[in-house]
Amino acid sequence: LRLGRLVSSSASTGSSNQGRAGVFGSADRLFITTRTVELLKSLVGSTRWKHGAQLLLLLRGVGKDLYVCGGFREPAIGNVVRRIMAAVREEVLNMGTATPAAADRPALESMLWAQPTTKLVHRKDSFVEGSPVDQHLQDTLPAAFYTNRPDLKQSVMEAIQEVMSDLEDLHKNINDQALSHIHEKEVILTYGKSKTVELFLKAAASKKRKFQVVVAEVAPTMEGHEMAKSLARAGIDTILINDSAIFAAMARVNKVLLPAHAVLANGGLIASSGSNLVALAAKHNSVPVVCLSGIFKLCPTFPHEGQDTLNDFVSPSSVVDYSELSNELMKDVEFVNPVHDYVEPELINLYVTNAGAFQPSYIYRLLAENYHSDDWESFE
Amino acid sequence: SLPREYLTLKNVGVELQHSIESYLQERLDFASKAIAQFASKKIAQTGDVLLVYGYPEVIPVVLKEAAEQNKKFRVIVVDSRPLLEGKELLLKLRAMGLDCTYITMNALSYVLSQEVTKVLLGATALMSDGSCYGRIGTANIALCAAKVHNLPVLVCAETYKISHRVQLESFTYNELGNPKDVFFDNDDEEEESMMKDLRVLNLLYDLTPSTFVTGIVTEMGILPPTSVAVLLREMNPQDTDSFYR
Repeated sequence: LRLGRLVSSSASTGSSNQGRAGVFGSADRLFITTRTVELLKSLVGSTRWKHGAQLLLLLRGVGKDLYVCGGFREPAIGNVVRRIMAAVREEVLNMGTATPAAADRPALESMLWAQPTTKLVHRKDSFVEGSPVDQHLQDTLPAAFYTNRPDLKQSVMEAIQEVMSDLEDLHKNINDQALSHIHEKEVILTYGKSKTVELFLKAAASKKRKFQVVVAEVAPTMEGHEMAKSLARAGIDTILINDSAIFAAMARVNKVLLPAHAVLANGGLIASSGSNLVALAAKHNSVPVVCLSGIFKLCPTFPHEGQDTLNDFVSPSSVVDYSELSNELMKDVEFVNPVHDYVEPELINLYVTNAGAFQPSYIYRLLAENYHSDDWESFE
Repeated sequence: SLPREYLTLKNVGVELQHSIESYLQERLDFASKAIAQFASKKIAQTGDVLLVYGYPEVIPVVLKEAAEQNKKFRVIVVDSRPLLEGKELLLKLRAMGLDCTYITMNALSYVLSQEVTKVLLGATALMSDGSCYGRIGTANIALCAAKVHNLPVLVCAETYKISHRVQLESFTYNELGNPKDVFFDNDDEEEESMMKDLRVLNLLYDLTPSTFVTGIVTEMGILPPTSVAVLLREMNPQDTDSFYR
């Protein structure tokens, strides 16, 4: 049996941010993310910090704690902490000048000629003598971060509120684009259970578009069954198929809608195990693949580990029943049950997000807009 | 062709019986042994990790032959609902003492990216353009293995499975299984009426395009998919006359 990180963190499943969530996927991820933002809001509001650098340290510390408590399973938590850190940096830098924040978006040209802001820190050497984090921040932060400004708290709280309202309007913003992607008499294939995809399809159906949805059952979690039932209740013509029928069914499908677990910096996608099969079959049949995701799922991670990126294994009890293991022959069999798949950016045609629709090659720009490059390191 | 005086009903019956028995022996029994010989030659002496799917009858014969030649290899068995034929194959292979891993179809991408060296598949029928009509899910495996990871995909099929038909995709000619095997919701009856929009499709077979298949292992040897039509003619000379009449 291959045991993933699940074993070492079993004690942390009671963490409050997990809420009513299941282990993977079945959780309401938007709920978790919103609660994380609320936590950060109350932390920023209630703790005493003197200047921007201290606030960033605080946020970074919280980010690390959340990661240890199970945030490695939910990349959106780290993303939203990074988002708020970027907002804080922006607020501090903008306080000195009169120009509004929006005009400070780096143009492509200025990014090209910009000096690098990060210094190489040898983390392995320095972990004994104080946190390398402090050293890192102290070396690179401009003076503006160390001046005490009483109105900084107010603007930071406003920025956090903006992040919060972004999350609240998430589904509305994505669903507004539903009609431009779903057309009459289309056959749409979807893989995996996702609230985002469900609401997207229901929004199109409510605007009187007639289309068919093919839902793959996603063994061994069987989450496709829930998705199919929910769509059928909304009056959408739904067809449920096995995972093995994906290639066969693709010949009749017009579009594929995939939900995201995380969107990577290179435009790749981390989604339910089996999504790579769907994307490959779609590519072979020249069927466009559209991924629905909120910006909060955008991670500044690259797929250096291939299929192991942001992946983990869960118990094989869903693959084979415990009772069957009493059979002598089954004793030495290895079971592999990964949770996610990595899908290459070449296989995805479009990312539909609450901030608009983008091609995978544009994702790096969204990264620069939402997070500051100094915060890209993982919270491990 | 028998001389005229020999053509009594009884003799013809006996001739027919012999004919059928020899067909069974040559085209079925002997064929799978021959396939095992050819396919096992392609398995390396050590270090191979073979991926198999479902339960084609010829696969355990191939693997048994390779094991008897003292080859050291691992087998990864892929399975899928609702038939779960892979489990039976798994038990059979474990009984032979082979090192096995068992996964469901969703883990395929992950496993192929790790360590698989060859893919062995079975077929229900071979179309004359070289595409393989097999258990549903076979195409998924061939696609992923051949396209992304450039792994050799060997389809083991006896020549009696070769058909003169050509099929372009899985839907044109298929078989449906019991939809209740896929999804059976026995919760409440009022749900049934709300479920009028939910249909279940239980396809049993699919078509693997010939571009994904590296070689077809038959009792005549290992052939490229393009040679299937030739083999059809070779193996069934009696059909060719009537076909072109």
